[in-house]
Amino acid sequence: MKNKVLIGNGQGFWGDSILGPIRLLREGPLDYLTLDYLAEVTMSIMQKLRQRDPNAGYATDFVTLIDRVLPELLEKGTRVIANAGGVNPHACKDALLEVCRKHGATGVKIAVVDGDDILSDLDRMIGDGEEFNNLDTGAPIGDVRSRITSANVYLGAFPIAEALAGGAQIVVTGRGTDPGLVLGPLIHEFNWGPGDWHKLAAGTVAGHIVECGAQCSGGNFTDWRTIPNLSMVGYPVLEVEPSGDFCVTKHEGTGGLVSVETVTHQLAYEMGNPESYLTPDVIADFTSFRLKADGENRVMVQDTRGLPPTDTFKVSMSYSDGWKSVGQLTISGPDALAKARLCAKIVWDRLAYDGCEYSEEQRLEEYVGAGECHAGLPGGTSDSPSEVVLRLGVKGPDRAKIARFGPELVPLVTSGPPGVTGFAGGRPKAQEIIGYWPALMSKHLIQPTVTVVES
Amino acid sequence: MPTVPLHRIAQARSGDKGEGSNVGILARSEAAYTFLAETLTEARVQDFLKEINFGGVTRYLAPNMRVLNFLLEGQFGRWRIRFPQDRRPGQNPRHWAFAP
Repeated sequence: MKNKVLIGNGQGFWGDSILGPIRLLREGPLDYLTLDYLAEVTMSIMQKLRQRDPNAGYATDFVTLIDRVLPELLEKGTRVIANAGGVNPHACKDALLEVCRKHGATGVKIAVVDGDDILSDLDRMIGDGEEFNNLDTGAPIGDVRSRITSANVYLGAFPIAEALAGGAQIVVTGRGTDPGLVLGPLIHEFNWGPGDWHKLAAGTVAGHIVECGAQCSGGNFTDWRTIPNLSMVGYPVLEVEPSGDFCVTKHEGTGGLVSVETVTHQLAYEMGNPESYLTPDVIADFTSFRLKADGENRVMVQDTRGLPPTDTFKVSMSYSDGWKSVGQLTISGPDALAKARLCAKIVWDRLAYDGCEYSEEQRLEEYVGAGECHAGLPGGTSDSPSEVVLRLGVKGPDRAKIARFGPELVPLVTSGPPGVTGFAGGRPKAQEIIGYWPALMSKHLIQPTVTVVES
Repeated sequence: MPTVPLHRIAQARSGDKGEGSNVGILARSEAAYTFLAETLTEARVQDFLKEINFGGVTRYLAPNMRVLNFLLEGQFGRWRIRFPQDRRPGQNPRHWAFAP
């Protein structure tokens, strides 16, 4: 058994910089590279892509990355774990096999972890008594059933460990927990079992700290002026011991900062009740561990405690929730805010004349620059900005009515008050709204599957 | 008693949380943590953010990290979930003027 495992996370979401993982591989030692590509509505977007093309529906950025780094990956033997599979992990695997062929790389083992997609089983499960009430609002699934476009369970970390035990150098998963990408290799390397609650909790805390990439190493930090070289920010690297104690650090010579403060910032991100951070593998207690500076850019996290998990999985569903259209103009010069308010009134008046009235609830009206983000807070608003970005939008169930809005925005340039500009984006179009529906379901209904293939 | 902005004695990080969001307040010292645990109450935060948070506020404490975590149940802006707008208020504690 290794006495220390090095894991770097190079991607915090689909759209994060490709330089994160490239530099993690290039600039220092690494046993595992993890990559988080999935946010809550990502699955629904991918589901739509797959409806149009049966070979789509995964994070194509991941395939682009592997194409760029494969020779280095093979030379160093670094193993990669990515939830890039989206709603079509086997298509992602096939694209990776194609990349291997292109590079002439044979014998590369690629694993797929799936079994998270329950969309086609949903009616049967509801028929068998699963409720799927909305976890946040308590509303019944019947409210949205006919409009659901994706349904995926957050799987735990043990299937990832199984894939690694099967020899995979690249593991592609569908929906799973974000910290599971880190916990999986730790379970594999240190033979942690399902009853090792404190160790599983430690691995979960470790995974949570790095899951948003540079957000724990100097990005999005309160005292931002004190962070050196954010341009070349180092993505986080974990050094984990068999006991579960670990150090958060980054490669030598990279920018950014790893300190007790930057790590605590990330621990407070999306925090609920700190005493019970729920995952399918364990309940981690975020009030249990100790944080300690351990030299420059090194923070130790010790003595994490955990409890057995609940008997439910979290399910993330998305549904079609009508249409929206949003556009913006810049209003400049004296009395910018008053002119922007008149612009909004003109648009609503003209649309009403043409038979399109939108309720208060269906209208978006924002004056960016005049204190939208910090309304009501001291120093948060300005009565006389020299320019304002007017953001107008509408939403509703009727696509034609929503589409009617866009063409009335740009005419303000010549038929509104003076100083209207910034219309280069063109006419806003009607776009489908994706609703999010979180729920719980019985664990025993889900059977994760692990498939290993070789290039 | 003198008044200082909250950022002088604390840092902050916020994120989405279900339909609402969270604001983590990170005390810069033990003394600041003790003081804030006593003074920065749910009611105080609810009142402070009343123009942008229309739901309830729940506070949790993590003394091992000197963190006071506030769960804000209201959506920031009527369309926050469906329009990806960043209106998270806790990100800049400079705006949380603090009068003990």
